[in-house]
Amino acid sequence: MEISVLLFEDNDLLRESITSLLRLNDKIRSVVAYDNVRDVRNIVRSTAADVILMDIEMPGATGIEALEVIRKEKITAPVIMLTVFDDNQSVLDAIKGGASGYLLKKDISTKLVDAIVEVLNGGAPMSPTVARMVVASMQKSTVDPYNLTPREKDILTSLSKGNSFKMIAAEFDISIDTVRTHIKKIYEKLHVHSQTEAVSKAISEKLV
Amino acid sequence: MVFLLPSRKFSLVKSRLIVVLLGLLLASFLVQGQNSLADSLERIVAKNERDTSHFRALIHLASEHSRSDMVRAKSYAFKVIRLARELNTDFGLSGAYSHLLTMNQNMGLADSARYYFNKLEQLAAAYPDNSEIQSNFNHTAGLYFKNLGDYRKAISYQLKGYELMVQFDPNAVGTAGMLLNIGNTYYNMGEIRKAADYHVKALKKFEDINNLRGQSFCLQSLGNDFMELKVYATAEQYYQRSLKLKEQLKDARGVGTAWFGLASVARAQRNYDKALKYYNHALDRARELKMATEEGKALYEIARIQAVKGNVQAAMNLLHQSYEKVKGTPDSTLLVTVSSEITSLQQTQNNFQLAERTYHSKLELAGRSGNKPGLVDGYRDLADLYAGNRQFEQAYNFLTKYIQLNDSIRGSEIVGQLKSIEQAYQREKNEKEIALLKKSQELKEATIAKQKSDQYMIAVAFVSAVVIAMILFNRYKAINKVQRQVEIEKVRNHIARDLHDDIGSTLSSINLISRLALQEGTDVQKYLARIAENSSRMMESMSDIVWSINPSHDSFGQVVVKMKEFAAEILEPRNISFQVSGEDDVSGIPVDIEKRKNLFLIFKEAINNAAKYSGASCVKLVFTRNQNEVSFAILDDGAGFDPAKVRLGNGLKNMEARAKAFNGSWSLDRGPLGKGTQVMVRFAITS
Repeated sequence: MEISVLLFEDNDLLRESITSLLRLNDKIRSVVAYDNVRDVRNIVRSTAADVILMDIEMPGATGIEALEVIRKEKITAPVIMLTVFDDNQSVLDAIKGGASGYLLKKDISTKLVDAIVEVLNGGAPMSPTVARMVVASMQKSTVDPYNLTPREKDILTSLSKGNSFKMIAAEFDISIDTVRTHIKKIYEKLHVHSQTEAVSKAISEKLV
Repeated sequence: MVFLLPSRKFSLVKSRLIVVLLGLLLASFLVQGQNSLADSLERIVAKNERDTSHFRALIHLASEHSRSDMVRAKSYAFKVIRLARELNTDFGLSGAYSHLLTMNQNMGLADSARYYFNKLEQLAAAYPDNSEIQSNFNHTAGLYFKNLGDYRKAISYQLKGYELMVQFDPNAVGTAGMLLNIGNTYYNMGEIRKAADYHVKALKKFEDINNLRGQSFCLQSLGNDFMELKVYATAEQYYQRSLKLKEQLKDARGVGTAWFGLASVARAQRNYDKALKYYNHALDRARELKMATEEGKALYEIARIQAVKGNVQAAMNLLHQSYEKVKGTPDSTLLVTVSSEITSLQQTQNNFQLAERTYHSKLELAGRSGNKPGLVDGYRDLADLYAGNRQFEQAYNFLTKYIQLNDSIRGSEIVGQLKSIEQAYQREKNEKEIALLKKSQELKEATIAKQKSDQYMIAVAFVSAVVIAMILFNRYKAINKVQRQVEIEKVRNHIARDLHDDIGSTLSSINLISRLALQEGTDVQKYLARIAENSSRMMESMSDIVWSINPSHDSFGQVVVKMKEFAAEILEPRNISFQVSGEDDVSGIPVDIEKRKNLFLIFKEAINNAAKYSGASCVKLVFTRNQNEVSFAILDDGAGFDPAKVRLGNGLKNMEARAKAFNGSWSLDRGPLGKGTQVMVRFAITS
């Protein structure tokens, strides 16, 4: 594997550590790192990265705003958000904003490369906490904002109860891969939702 | 019976002659009464006996034809004169002269008429006692002067003639005729009532003797009377009756007069088209009879109608034609009327054209110089001018312009006036108000002084009450606040202490270990491994603390979720299966920060132990709830433990401490059936 990584992290120690960690891994070919997202547009256009790692809280703009810019530039490389806490609304916003996945900072040392590989393979990691947030946001409105199928809803609910993918698979008598596929679908729908939200927001702003 | 011949211009005269001759011929056969009289008269004349009856017959014939064929009538009259000369008598001369006088006058031959008048006058003077001559003279003279317009002379002759006639002339025709003429003269003098009176008398007389001709004249005259009295309906009736009779009698001239009458009624009723029709009938008659006066009169009347209708040019032409016709006649009155009409029409036309030109140039000037009031007046003047000339469309246009412009000018003028009036009024009002205010202010000040003291007392009382209430309330709030803050402080302190303890000590240990590692000759790997471990643990710990202080995690259900998550993470990679039961029973139970943190940490410890030491292949997590107690058990099917061998390691010690912290209990036993291990935690439900 020859993965090129683009990293945005403002904490110097963390940034350097991640860079070193990745460079030492033979799956990673190159790492380019920045400590801010002010110039994210140009950077993203000029650097051809396979995956982008983005801290959620960044100077200049939030990671989520930077994510928006990246998506506008039609960059298809998956973006993994780095966050301290996963019960933050920011994580859900990031997913809606087009993040392909997220990683808790406390898990970086152990799970970073796996997460990169999984995401490049089309996987979509989701924790019960985030699932719970999705469920909560769905419950807020009378109409399902994400257009989930009943099966997807079931899986999401099960996940939000703390069940692991294995447990969910056992519960619904399906394979873990099927569960992962469903989760991936849910992700995509969250993305779409965010897109439509963004579009309607833009329109309403223009109209107003 | 009347023959209607197609009238074509070239054969018009011819056809007319034929009509007349035929008419006479047929009439002499068909109409009884007077026309058979003409026959017999002709026979008498034809006899040529040269006696009185001969004379009378001739006179009669002259009279008969005088209405329709004046030339013929004249010839009879001349025959009388010739006969008289031959017989060297004056007999019948008065009759002849009378007829000739009348006919000549009617034909507009003023000099001839005058000649015969003189002749008649001489004759009357020569025979003062001859009643016939006298009555003839007076009668005819009266008519003559009447036609000349000298009514005073006419009336005197007529009245005299009437007297004489009544006395001497048994011929009622003459009397009736006299009455008629007197009526006419009075009419001309404007004494309509008198005129009508005489006309009615005359009519009665004529009816008595069954003289249709006379009746027709009376009816005509009565029509005139009622016209003058403006009783148009009655006038029309009389004219119609007159017309009927005259047509019956073939009195062409009379018919013409009747048409005149009817036309005048129509005109008076503003039925101009009808009037024109009738006048044209009259005109036709007049032309047929070559009666210049009548023709002139007809043309004049038609012209007047045209003028009324606004056809000024046509009217002018007709008037000129009329003037030409009337010029040769002795009817001076008519001539004067016509010529004055011409002049006035001309004047009007000139005036109109002149006025029109003047007004337009004025308007133009006003427009160019921006003189708005001038424009307004100009519009109005032109509107009036055109209205007067019956050019109503033009009049309307200018009137509209006038109104619009006038409104805008006068409008603003008026608004300006109103404004100034308003301002004056306002000023006055203000002054009055100021005066009033001053007065009321003085009054107020007096009252205020009194009120003030009253209010003051009330205000003080009220304010103090409010203040007291506020103070009490604030105290209460403050107390609460302080209380709560104390509470929060407690919690904060606790958390801070926890953090400090846990993380602080971990950090210091990392620090220590790193220093150790830096020393030479030491097992760096080992130390680094320890650092990695510690730091990981610290991150976990921090995460747990953050989780536990999250206010939304206030029910046991949340704890269960976290437990499951954690268990899966630890056990699944080790291929240890994991089962949960009873979670729904306990999910709604409230747990505070401390409790949830501690519960979770106990759980973590137990799972870690099971994962590391038990060698189990399956871990079960069981939640139960009985009344006010919740318990959860972590069971594994591992090797179990030897209670004697277990030392209270840090982990277990901690579990002990935590359970105590939430007033719960903790136990470590063998599993059911003596196999495996069971960690049981119990705690009370606090609402």
